[in-house]
Amino acid sequence: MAADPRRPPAEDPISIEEQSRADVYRLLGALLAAAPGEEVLSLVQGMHGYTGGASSPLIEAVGDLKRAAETASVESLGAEYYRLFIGLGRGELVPYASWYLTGYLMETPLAALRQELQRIGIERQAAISEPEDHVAALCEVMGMIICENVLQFDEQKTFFETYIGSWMGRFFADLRQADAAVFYSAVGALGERFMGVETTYFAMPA
Amino acid sequence: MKAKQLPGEARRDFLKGVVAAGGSAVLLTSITQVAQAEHWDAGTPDSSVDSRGYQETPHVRAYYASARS
Repeated sequence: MAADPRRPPAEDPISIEEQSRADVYRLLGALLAAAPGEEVLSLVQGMHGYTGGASSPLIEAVGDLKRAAETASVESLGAEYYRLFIGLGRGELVPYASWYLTGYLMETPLAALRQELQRIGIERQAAISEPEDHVAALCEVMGMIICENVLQFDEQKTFFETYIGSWMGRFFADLRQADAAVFYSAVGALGERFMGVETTYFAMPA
Repeated sequence: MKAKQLPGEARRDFLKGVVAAGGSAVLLTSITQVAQAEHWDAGTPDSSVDSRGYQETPHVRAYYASARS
């Protein structure tokens, strides 16, 4: 995804807390867009910064992800990703908003999302062929919305509730429990807890 | 007397407790930057693909294959 070059850059830098929200979205997006390569796997294995200091259910889930990464390899993750999302005929999970909301691919939720992305000036890069309602694409978009101050709190809340909160928690719960999921079970647990954090965050007064 | 907390501050405090702990934000940033770079490398455009409209992905191809069977 890319921001509309006509849109001026964000005037105010975001807080470290908002940056952290964006980073979790981007981490989830990156891990769900494709199986991690050597460099990403190595970085996830080295996330020791999360095991010290303050803790929370979300931070514990990041620690669990690190531990799952320690027993994984690029090859095992590639095979796991294939079984989960691609498969012979179909993967175990179908990671699209349209599927979760209507039971079909490329349905009205995708059309509505495309209109909204056009309105806020975010477009799919030519190199990316996944439809915009893929879980990884939506995580990446939300990370971009936060990082670049594309939408203020009220509009972010509407975007989250319409395109993310309406289905992504169910997807992450399915991912956590999927038969083929080992490393990705930890990704699902992290995503599930993060959706809970985001739901609480957006329920707070504007 | 305790000063009334602004709504934005309450949200920030909430995030401080559950999302941002210590130097973790910086660490995650480096991971996500590398992860995105890997993803974009993998997504180098194929000149045989028409980029003007809908493109089938492995997920969509698999879905249609299962729907036909």
